[in-house]
Amino acid sequence: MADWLTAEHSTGTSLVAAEFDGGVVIGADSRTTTGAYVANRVTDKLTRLSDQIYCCRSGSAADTQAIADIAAYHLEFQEIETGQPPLVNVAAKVVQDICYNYRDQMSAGMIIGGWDVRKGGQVYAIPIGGMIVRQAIAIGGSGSSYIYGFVDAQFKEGMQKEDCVEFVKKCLGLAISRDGSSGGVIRVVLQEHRKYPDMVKQ
Amino acid sequence: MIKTTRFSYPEVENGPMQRHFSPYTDNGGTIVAIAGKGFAVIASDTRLSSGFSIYTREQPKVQQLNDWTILGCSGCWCDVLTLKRLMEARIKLYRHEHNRAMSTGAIAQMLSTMLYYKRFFPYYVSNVLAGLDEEGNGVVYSYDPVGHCEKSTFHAGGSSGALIQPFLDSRVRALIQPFLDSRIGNKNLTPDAIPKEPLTLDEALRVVKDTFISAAERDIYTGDGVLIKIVTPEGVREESFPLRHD
Amino acid sequence: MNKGAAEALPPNFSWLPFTSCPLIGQSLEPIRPFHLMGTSNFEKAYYTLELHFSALVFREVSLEKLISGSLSEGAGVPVDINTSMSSLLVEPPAAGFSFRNTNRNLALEAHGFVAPKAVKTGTTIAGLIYKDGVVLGADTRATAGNIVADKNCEKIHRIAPRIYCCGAGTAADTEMTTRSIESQIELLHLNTGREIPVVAANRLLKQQLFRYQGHIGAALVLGGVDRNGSHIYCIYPHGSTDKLPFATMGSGSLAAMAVMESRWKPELELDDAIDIMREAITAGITNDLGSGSNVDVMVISKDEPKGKLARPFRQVGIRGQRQGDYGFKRGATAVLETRVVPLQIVDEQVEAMET
Repeated sequence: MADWLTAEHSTGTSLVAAEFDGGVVIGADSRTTTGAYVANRVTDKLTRLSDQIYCCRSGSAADTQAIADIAAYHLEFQEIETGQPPLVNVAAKVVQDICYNYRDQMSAGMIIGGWDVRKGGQVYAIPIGGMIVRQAIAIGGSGSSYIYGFVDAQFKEGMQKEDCVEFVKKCLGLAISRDGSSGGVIRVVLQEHRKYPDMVKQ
Repeated sequence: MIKTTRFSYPEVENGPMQRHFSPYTDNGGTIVAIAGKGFAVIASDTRLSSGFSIYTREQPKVQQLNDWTILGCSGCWCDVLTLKRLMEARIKLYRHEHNRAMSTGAIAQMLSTMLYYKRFFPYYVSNVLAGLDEEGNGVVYSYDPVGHCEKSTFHAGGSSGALIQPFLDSRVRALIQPFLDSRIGNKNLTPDAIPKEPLTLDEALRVVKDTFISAAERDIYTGDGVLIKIVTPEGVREESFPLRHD
Repeated sequence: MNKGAAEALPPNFSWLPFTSCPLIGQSLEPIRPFHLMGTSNFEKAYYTLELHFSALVFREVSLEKLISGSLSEGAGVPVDINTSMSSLLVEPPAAGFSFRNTNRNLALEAHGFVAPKAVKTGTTIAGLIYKDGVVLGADTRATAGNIVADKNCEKIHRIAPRIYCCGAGTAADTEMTTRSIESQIELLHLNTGREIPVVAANRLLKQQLFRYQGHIGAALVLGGVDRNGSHIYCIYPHGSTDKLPFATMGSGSLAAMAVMESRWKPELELDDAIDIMREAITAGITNDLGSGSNVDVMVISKDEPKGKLARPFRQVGIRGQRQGDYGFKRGATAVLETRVVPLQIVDEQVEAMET
């Protein structure tokens, strides 16, 4: 049988997450590849961890889905115990713990984005290896290497919501156009402070 | 999968890496040949494939070399093409040099030397040569990839060779050589069960067709169709019929 | 700790039927015909039960004696396992896979031993959503290397009455994985009294496959209907899943996907959906050497209590007609020696035991 059939699925990806004044915007392409074959052209790589926290997945599809499932389970459990929505830094730490402890067996690059009452909109990058760092803007996946220059030149902290959404879309459009293993559509999740925070998906 | 530890230098940790050069692919296909008194039949399926995909459903693997000799080859198709091209050239040279066409036996010997010439980088081809000898009787020669040649009266080669040959051993040998002492196929048969009449052309054709129908049931590299070449002193004629397409 | 076996053996302890072991997979031990729950004296009661079970099989001990026997022995009389175990007894197998021969097999392979091939279903399977439910499809060829191992195998497995799963990859893995999840879903259904949704089956499958890190070679297309609507999931051997409106899998997936991508649209009528499925699987059967023989089609409609299987739905690879008869004539094999052994016929009457 051909190698690509038995090979592991990976999301050769373009991911962008950015903080803005009062929330975060995260975005991703929608392509899943097995070798040269596009196994899924409408993938949703923006995965819910809690109502106000989402993660962007890159690396092995199986590993990142498992991590997201486990983290979501932990956070839901915590939410029931405490009666409070989980904090973004806690969610990021839960994900990072898994990524770090299993760094030899897994290949997962994650970006966590969300909003909470303590620190507002936050973005945490957890690259392969299990390091964690908070950034105002984080990019990830194979497509990200094409847009470092653009991001460095164009990103400004404290943008308006609409500008930030447009910025994320622009980043992903540029990454997809150059990276062969990214493609499909751009998916964006907007997370901002509201009385009843919810997510808006485009 | 990307394996990454904190400080990972896989090119150092995993020791020396070995790259393989693989010039061969197996394009499948099956050849069956049966010779009898005054005739020889040789047939191939028409599927050309690689891995799990089909290149074409219409590629016969039997080739007429002269008025009384047919060559059937299957295996690595690029080697088949090269070998056939060189053989045709050598056959042409022989005719110009000796002012007569090569006999089946001469072609058989030439093929053996051509294969052995490439002993350490062989043609990855399963060859079956069928034709008429100088007396006008059928003869079959079968080869391994590096030039070992065996003269016989029937042979199955290619991807279904291992499936068909035992069947031919048990049924055809009994039909062709019922009076030989070294009978293999009919060793345990009572004298009554051994056919008294030699194999006829019609029977040989029937056996060839039925072996392909059965091989296509179980071998994924055999199918689509069969081309049969029938050599008699009157000349060479063709027959074909379809096989399973799946 | 010795609480007495009344707890060790619940009054309604399950008495599973003795099922013969299928010749699939690695399990060579028969499915245990009894099952114990509880904690105290578990092992002793278990061994006693095992002991009596062999007695039951070979000497027809009554069920009541069997239970009371294990009760009294579990209740205080210690059973010396080493002496009471007859040679007929085997140790109860641990749950999960046995890795007993792993090191031996690695050593054998290092010495050049070629391990036997597992039967693979180099397959075309597919699933799609239509207006009122889902349609699943599969070919019926199983291969071992370049040889067709089975010309008409079943690749659409039942998970629940309205959830089915097509399997590609290692035949034993797809069969055993779907069966195990079928059983877990049924238990969940009995415990909750609700119809179990398709997502639950997807979760159980992906977690099972992820646990074994791709070593369980099952590539699945899961489809079904529940109270939330119609669902198709693609599940890969490493445990990743995709939720899609139409999906294909196996070595013929590209051929089948070509048909799906050109013809699928939302809100398909049933006839069109079945037509697309037939063409998709046929494309796999004719263009992929790992797929062959027939098209099986399963329709699961939201208006029906059960999925409906059409098998074979269409025969693509049709057996050729042979002209000759190659059977040996009667008397073809020489008789070398004849010996007559008279049979002894013994008449014996058996009386029913008092129970």
